[in-house]
Amino acid sequence: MEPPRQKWIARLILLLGAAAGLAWLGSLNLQRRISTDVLDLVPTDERSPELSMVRGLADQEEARVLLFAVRVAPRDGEAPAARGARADRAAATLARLLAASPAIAQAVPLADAGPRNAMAAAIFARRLEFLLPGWLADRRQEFDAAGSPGPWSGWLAERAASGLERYLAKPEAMASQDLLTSDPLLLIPGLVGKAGSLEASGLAGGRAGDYALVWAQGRASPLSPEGQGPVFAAVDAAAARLREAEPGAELRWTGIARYAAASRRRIEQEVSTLNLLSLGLVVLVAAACVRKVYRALQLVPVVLGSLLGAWVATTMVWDRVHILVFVIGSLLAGVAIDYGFYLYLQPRRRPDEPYRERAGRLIRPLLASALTTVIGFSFLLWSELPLIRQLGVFVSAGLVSALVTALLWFAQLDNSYLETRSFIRRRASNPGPRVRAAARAVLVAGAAVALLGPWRLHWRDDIRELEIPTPEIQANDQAVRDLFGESTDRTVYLTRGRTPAEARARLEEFLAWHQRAYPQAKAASIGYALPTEAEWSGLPAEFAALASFPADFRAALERHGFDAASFSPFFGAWADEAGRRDRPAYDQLVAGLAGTLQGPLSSLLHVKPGASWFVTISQERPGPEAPPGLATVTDSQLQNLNGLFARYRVSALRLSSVGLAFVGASVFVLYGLRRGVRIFAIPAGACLFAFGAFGLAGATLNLFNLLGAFLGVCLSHNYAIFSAESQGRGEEPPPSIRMSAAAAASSFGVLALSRIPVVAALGSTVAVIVLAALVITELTPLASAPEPAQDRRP
Amino acid sequence: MKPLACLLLGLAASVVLRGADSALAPLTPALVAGEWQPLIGALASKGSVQADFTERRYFPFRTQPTVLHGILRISPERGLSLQYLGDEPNILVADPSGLLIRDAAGRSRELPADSHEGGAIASLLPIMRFDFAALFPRFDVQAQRSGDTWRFEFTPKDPEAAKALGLITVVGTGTAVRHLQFRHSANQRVDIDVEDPRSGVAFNPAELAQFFR
Repeated sequence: MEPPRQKWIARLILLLGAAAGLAWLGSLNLQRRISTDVLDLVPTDERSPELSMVRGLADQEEARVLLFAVRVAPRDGEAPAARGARADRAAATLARLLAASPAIAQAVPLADAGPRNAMAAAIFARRLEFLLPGWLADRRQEFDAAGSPGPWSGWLAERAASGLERYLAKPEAMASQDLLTSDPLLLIPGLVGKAGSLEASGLAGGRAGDYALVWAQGRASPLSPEGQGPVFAAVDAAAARLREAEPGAELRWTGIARYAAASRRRIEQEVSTLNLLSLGLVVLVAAACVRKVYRALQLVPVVLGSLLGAWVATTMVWDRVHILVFVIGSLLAGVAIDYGFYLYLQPRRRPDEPYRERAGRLIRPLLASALTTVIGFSFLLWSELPLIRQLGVFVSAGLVSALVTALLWFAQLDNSYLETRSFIRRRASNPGPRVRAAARAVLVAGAAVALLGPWRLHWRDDIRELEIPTPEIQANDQAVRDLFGESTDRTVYLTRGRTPAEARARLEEFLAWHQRAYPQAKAASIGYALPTEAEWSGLPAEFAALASFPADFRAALERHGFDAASFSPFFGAWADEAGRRDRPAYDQLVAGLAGTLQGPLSSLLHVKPGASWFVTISQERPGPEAPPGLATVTDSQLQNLNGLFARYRVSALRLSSVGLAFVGASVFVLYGLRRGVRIFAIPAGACLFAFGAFGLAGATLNLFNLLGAFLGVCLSHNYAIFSAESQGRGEEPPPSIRMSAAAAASSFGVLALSRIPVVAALGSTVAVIVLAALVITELTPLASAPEPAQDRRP
Repeated sequence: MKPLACLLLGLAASVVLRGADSALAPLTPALVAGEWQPLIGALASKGSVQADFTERRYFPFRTQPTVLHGILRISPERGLSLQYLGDEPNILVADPSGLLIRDAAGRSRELPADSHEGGAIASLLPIMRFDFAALFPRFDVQAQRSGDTWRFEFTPKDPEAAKALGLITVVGTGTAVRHLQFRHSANQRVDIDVEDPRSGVAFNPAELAQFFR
């Protein structure tokens, strides 16, 4: 019998703690506090420009784009052209129906040339503002390079007239001849030549095969519930109305909202499934190893207390916590139960040994294992990545809660000892030479794997692995994007700057690099339609220097066989622009162009306070990335954020190393150098073996394998401590080590089955390390057992 | 009858007869299947053709036409290819996929057949193939024949295509195309004289790759 006072105090503390924790969680709006947005996994003040662009893309209208492809059912004897026209009408109907929904900001059938015409008209009307400064700067470079002795104006007039004459021999001259009297400097044809392939980039085509295309934009962020449900309802309603008019019409569509909704749904399922499975397996392991199965349920409060403490601490520290923390947090079931095992399965020294005395014997290894793990995970609080910081707090708080709950829970029981089945305690007392040799061979083979395998490891991070892959949605997305002309034969670049001027300057540098790197590939950007800030500010001085240009140009045109009088629209526009006194500031000029971009064209240029970028579409397969100084990334870089996560991985490795150093140091302080080395060799060896095995298997690891390794080392470190403690007392290792390892391996094995790749990576890493540590713990005594004395009697 | 009167009567009769022979008349599917069938059948079944050409481009703001020379190639399977020679050589290909312009460096620009602009120019392809089944839905066609010489005029029905192409005239002798014209007005037109046409040529794979898509 335990003292009643001890029992009631323990019960009171447990009840108060549970009530307070549940009250706290009950007071929270968990829908708001728990996020499924992957961007919440990375810091809001992240300095990486890639991420700020991704954040921008996610927050801005670019992420709200919805792409639709409509195909109408064929009719008997109908010509393809007639069917195509019917598809165009269906697309126009769909766009009208979508645009009528409050959830949809705009919807445009791509056959509608309105956005293209609006952009072309705006650029043509302001061609001397948008295009002339850059054209003059290019000609000035040629003039300087040629070292021409004549005046600048005369040289320029001759150059422009001869250029116009040459242009008339080009195939496209006939199509653009109506423009030429207004644009004899060929500003618009020059822009079309450089940026014309945007037309073939999927942004401007009206139809793809039998499908007519519609571009639309939602009103709310696709990552928010408002940007999902109402959009889906609007699409369903529009599709139903469309099919009333066109029975059998097929509608395919894609958008980030579809991914986000599917991801949230699947992750929520994953959380509940993994937690239940993990808890169930741990209880099953316990039930299989103890004599009175029902008494194994006494371990459940330890796990629940651990999870409650972890949830409370994490939600108290952070206003918004990513759901992945709770998914990975389900591993705590396998870790937290360890303390229950150590306390509950520790045999009494004598039948009437009180709980306090028994717990007192265990408190040193319990505190050593718990606190060293907590210290190790606390170092993750210095990580840049919120996810890792949140995991650090979740695991640390969970372990402390587990230890406290275990100590209190068993303190309020009259019988706090659970006898294990004999098989879990069974050990080879006097191993024969074959067993010794086999144990040594296994250890040597493991050492070889640990030494050779890690050199073959590959590392790569992809933010998309933080979510559950949705193959059917991905396949649909790819199919629709193919119809919109997105192919693997092209590369999309985003060039950024804090201001429009900086972004345009970087674009100029990037385009020069691209020309050198891919001389055969054409790079098209709306940036060609804008001067750089320096060219714009130099325009008044150029007009002043070219005062005689109109007269020079008239004479040059006549010399080259033109009727100069036909070009009066150009000379009128030139005089107006040259005489202009007030010109807009550069930012206003860029905003003026951005304001003319409608529908799909609006994604070509982004101008917002603090972040501007230009899109460049190049007709080449993705190749080497642009040098960092060019502030340009490809869309694939933005999709995987590998570069950014590689930095986080290095940061996590550094923090884990420091944490492990402290764990090791604390072991050396508690157990001395010799025993400390023996204790620390087990988790370190198990970790190296796991990485070696992954390396030999050709696996590619990521940040979460690293975190898993850290956790695995901390766990297996506990087994080494308890094993060493028992050895120090001349006892056999307690059965709780085997049960802990089995429970942890089961719990993490469940995580290894997760459909979220990073969770699976973490689970498999911990499971392998824990099992390897158990094998080392078990085999080391066998391999180092003394040779039995030889019977030398004749 | 006096010799002078005979001469004048003879000339008048010749004019009347030539006039009757040369009047442009709408060409209908029935006529294509009937009296025009031998000529059109022969034109359509000529196979691959290669010829030199001289192109004169007339612009309203220019006092003289811009003159270009090149080689025309027609492949029944691959389409029409115009190889422009001169200071800035280019190759223009019109085929069922649309229009392609390839510069001397091998870089190309495309206008897909399902775009308005590419579609208008790609409609030239059935003209060069004399594929009247494909032409009638897109063009109003008129025809004229005088002895061995013949003339077709194609007016696009689609206003956008009419704006892009103008009135298209094809003139030939026997089974050879001799002249093409794309006309918006007297001072805004393109005349193409086809010289030394050779039918039945076989393009080797290198030529097909270089001059077609």
